Amino acid sequence: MFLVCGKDLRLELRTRESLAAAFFFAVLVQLVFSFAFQFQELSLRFEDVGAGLIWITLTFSAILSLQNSFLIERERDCLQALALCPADASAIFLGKLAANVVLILTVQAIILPLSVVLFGYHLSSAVLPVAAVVVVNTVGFSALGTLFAAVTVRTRRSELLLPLLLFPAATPLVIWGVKATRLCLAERSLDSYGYLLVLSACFDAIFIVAGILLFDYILEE
Amino acid sequence: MEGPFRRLEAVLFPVTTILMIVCLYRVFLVVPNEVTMGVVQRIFYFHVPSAWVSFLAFFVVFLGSILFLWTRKAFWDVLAHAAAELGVVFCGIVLLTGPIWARPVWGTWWTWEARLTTTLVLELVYVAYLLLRGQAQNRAQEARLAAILGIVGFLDVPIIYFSVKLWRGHHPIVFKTGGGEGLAPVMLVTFMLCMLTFTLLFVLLLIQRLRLGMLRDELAGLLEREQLLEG
Amino acid sequence: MKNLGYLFWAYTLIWIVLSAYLVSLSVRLSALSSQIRRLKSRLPGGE
Repeated sequence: MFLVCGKDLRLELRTRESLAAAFFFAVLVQLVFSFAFQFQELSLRFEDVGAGLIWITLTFSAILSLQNSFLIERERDCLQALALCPADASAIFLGKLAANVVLILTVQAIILPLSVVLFGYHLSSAVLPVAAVVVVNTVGFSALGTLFAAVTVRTRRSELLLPLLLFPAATPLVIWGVKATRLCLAERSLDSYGYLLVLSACFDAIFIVAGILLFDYILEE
Repeated sequence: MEGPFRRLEAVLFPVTTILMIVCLYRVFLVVPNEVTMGVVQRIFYFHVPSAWVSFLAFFVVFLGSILFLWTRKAFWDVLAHAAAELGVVFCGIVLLTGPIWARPVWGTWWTWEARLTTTLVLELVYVAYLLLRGQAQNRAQEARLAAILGIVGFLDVPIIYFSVKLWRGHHPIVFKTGGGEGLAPVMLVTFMLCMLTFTLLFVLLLIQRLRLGMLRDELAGLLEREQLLEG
Repeated sequence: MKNLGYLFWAYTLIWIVLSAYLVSLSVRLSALSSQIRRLKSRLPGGE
């Protein structure tokens, strides 16, 4: 598992392709958001719409990263090699998953402070809770995303199918994530949003297990 | 595929047709007007059974997918495909009739509450399932990948339902459509009759669609033979 | 009776959708059947 994860990450570090794409896309979303919502004129505060912004940015830039995760294998015809390699299919799944999580979180780690600065929000005690929410939901999003990316990579129109499959399937994560983030930004106590974190964690667990069990079938040729 | 299926069909077709006529008769001529919603409430008699059938269909997809991955028999894959198509059709009916019912009753075509959002998401997931099948590179891959999606998609559904419920609070509905409570006996009977009719309709259509799927595979086999002979 | 229009449209749509699907099914079925028949007559050997 660590081998696969490490390999993906090393590849990414060298090309920086998908990171760059995801990052620039995220910045663009911020820009469009600021035009769309006219913060100054409408005296909107970050707390009101920030949760939505964070999650729109995350979901769309994450899709870019996820699409790339199997693209390299497809382009170099490595998919068969992946299937034939002696490692357990679930290890491959977990490795890919880990790599995706790291990549998405890396982008978010830069973007989140950026949006805070751009939209004039005072961070204070919201940092850790928001970070926790982002991490937990990203894991789930990546689990589903890695699963669906593997399923769609060999089909035609895979770039279209992946978002088409992933967004509806991931709605619980987005719903819980936005709600929790909004509560965190408004600096509510842990009791008010704690249950949302637990729900997301359960979601993550269910789909990681599903991925582990089903990945064998996805890889066979 | 014949034998038992043909016999079932021969029985189901007349029975379903008769039941459907009876249902329509009861819905339009027998049943009284509902107190708060008036005439529009009658949509419920076809709307809820459609929803039930679509859930049933998606459950069949789930079972078919698991059985296919386990036994690798093509029948289960064809069944899953057939059920998915039917599920999309009936879920579509739910999504069309729901807003038509909602507009006069709630004053709005749509709201983002638990049941509606889940139904929309469900429809999207299974439309994506059908699209995935169309885009696969070969038959074996199609069956396998579709089975994966059939399993994962179905697991997601109850989760989606609960997530939306927590997000939006409760259904602003006056009339409880969940069960038979609060229904006058004549309405209850009509409702159950419609449920039965729709279920039988589902089975009938499933058999037809199954036949279509089997023929498709038979054609593929024949085409392969032709290519082998020519090549 | 107010709202009769909504009721009418709801049921009409249901019938349109169901009929459209039935038509689609039978068209596909007959197309496939005729293709299979043609192929079977062209190919040597029985089934």
